[in-house]
Amino acid sequence: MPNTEIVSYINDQTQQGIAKDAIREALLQSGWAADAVEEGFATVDGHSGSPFPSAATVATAAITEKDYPVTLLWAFKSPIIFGLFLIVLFVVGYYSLPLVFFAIFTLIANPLLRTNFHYSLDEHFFQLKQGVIAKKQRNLPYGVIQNVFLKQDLFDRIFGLATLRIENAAQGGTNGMKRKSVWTSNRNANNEFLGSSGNTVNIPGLKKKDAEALKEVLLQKIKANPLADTGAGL
Amino acid sequence: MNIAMSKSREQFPLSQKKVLKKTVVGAIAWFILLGILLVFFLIGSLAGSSDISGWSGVGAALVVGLFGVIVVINYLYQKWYFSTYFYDLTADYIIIRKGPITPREITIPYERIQDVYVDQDLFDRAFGLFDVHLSSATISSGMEAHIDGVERAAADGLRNVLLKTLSEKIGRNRVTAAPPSPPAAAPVSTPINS
Repeated sequence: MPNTEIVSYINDQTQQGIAKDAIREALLQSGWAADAVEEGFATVDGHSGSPFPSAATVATAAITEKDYPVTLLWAFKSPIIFGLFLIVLFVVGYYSLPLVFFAIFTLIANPLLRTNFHYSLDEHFFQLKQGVIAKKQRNLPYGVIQNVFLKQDLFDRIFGLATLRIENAAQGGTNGMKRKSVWTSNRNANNEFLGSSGNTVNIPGLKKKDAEALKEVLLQKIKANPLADTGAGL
Repeated sequence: MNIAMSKSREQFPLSQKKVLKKTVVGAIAWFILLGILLVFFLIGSLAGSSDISGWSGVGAALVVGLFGVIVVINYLYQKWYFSTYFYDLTADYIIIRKGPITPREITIPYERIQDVYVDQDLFDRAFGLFDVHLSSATISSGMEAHIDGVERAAADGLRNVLLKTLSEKIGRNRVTAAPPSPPAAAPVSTPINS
């Protein structure tokens, strides 16, 4: 039976964003036995000795794209916008076959991208699986998330959608950092991108309230998984 | 119009002068743009044949009228923008939301903030306004995360609150509750492996 004092202390400190190692250190320093402390952590993490999952673990089961799905409307967003653009061009008297092919291409590609996009918020990592032909899996520790964006463009505003965007400080994944042209800044260039690119993870086409809820869950996870050393130099 | 109020905005309000400044800046930009157009019309009316010169006069009047309409619309838009501008320094995050039609919201945990700075551009100096910037390690945060158009007292206040919270959150001397002490009677049963 874990000590309730330890458990409540751990919960309290975790809520305040203190790293687990620091909590453990503080408890050991004040004279608690190591196994009592470990037992406390085990209880908090939800895998106590009991073979049955506790109520807490059930409640915090990993959230996936099934809970907050990318709406089917997203798949048709760029074809719709592109189609309207083509119609306007046609009325004006301009006609371009490559552009028509591109519109048809997005109409086929987007539903495929959508069905192949999976995310899951498990205990320590934001996991992402994406890609139709070239597959990519990404595991993002919550502790390194730098900021969370929630944005709506005009189309989103009309249809009640929103884009959630998560950024860390990674420079590795290339194309997020590439400027597409002089005229479009990075943030506009891949606004509609589904999934991970460069230092950003973009989840467009969420329902507004789903996006809000997902953001809240994510912020909770960030708070519960702080870095031991922030590297702030203070 | 309802103003998107938060605790932080109540304490450190956006200046009403922000609306005025944005309107003036917009007016100047349009003035230059339409001024060029006007010059073309005037040259047309001076150099052209008589029937075209008449139309050029009408064109010039239209341009002036258009300028007025644009300034009024811009003023109304800036008022709207001002009223939907939202920022809040909550216990754990900084939230900044702007844009009445296409809202953008950024949330930054205090622990991720790399930089806090206050600056003024030329027009800010004319109106006595300040921009409070904060930035995490991403490029887009530098573009999005700023509170612009506050007066000196609010700018200093915001900066002080931010810096104070930052050093509390990420400093070595951050405040942590003392852990509960074990009951004195309970013997430490197992040796602590060091």
